[in-house]
Amino acid sequence: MTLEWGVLVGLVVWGTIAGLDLASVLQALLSRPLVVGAGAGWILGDVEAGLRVGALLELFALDVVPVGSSRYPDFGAATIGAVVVAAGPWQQTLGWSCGIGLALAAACGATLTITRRLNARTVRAYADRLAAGDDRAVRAVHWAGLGHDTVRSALVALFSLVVAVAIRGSGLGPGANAGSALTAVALAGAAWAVAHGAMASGRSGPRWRWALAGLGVGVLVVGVR
Amino acid sequence: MTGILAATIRLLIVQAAWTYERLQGVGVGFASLPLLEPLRAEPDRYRAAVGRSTELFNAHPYLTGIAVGAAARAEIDGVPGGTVQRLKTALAGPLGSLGDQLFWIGVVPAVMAAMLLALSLHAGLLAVAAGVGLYLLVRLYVTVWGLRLGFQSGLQISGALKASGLTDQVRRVGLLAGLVVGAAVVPVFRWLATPAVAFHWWLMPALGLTGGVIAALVRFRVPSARLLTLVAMVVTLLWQLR
Repeated sequence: MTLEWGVLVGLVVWGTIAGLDLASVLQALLSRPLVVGAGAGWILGDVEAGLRVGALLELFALDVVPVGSSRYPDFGAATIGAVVVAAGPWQQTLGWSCGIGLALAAACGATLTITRRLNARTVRAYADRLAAGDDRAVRAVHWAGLGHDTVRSALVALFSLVVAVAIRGSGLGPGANAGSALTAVALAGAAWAVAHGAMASGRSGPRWRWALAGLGVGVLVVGVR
Repeated sequence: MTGILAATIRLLIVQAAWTYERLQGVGVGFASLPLLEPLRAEPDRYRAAVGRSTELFNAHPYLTGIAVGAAARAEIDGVPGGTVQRLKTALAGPLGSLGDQLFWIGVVPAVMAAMLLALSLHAGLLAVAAGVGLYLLVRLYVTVWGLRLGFQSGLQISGALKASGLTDQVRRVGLLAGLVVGAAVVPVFRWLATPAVAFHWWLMPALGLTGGVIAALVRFRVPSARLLTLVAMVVTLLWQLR
């Protein structure tokens, strides 16, 4: 599959939007793997691959609580890379692309710390003016912070895309048997993440019972279909 | 543009200058500026209020507006600076905890699981678009509501927050999230595994679910499921290559 320039630019722009949504702007699901995957699949012209990869990575993301000072993965750019790897015959590469997405998410998430250090440096440079209540300093520091995260988001989107294109170009990838095995492993890991997330958030209360009731409904839905 | 509208828009980027030293502090100051405009006629009061607004603060980003509004109202009402600081300190913890429970482990998992469930029933892109659209409306509504509540209440924000019933929603949303996530599990794993997995589609998800539950029950400290999966994938590839 050859990616045209327009598609590559579209993916970087989409990845940048997703990266900003992670912490700086809105935080309104645009950085969730499922949403990013759907958009990336649409841009690539392979919606089904985007939805499948996004859904699989989303199951891992359900276990992540993005509390301010904690370190968390950046699934936005990572999902774009994963969808690029999976686009086309996704049946064989679903688990493989998920693994690449998980690795990219960890790498991209690490850059959040750098952005925060850059912000801290700006705050220190303006510390006296901030303490004196200079509103122009407040605006300058805030826009600088937004600028840092915009650059970070664009760079991690570009990085993920380059990695994904390089993997595709090199022909690296599992055969049919290994591909199926990797998908099975990814599904087990995703199930572990869902179970862990559910236990961590609702183990001691009635939420757990409601989750079991939901599980019963899900079994019924599958049985009926 | 009114102060409330400008502050609302700024609250949507409140975490852009997040640092480990002041946390959301600078963002709170940035969002407070339009609300503090009435103090401009008294430069000393204005500068003192702006200076206080940028100090250390952290809460859930959706609910930060409650503190921004309440502190701005207190500043305009001439409440002593120390009291305004104590008000913000008192609000930070509860607004953080409430928001995390309500949104990060309540509404977000419920919406995402509903989208996943709809996808497994072949709803396609429409499910994603509808989920994001609905969530965006909730996000905007909560931001506007919180800022207005805080700005109207000032120092009385604690009572106003209690009377608003927001805390009661935590339990309801938590139960709903449990139900929807539970309902999504089997259909979603079946959808994902078909036709990508060559053998019984339910086997590996069942193993993973069991492992996750047992690990949590016995408090077995493992690295994240993500790291565990990556290690298992490398082992699988090496085994296939042998």
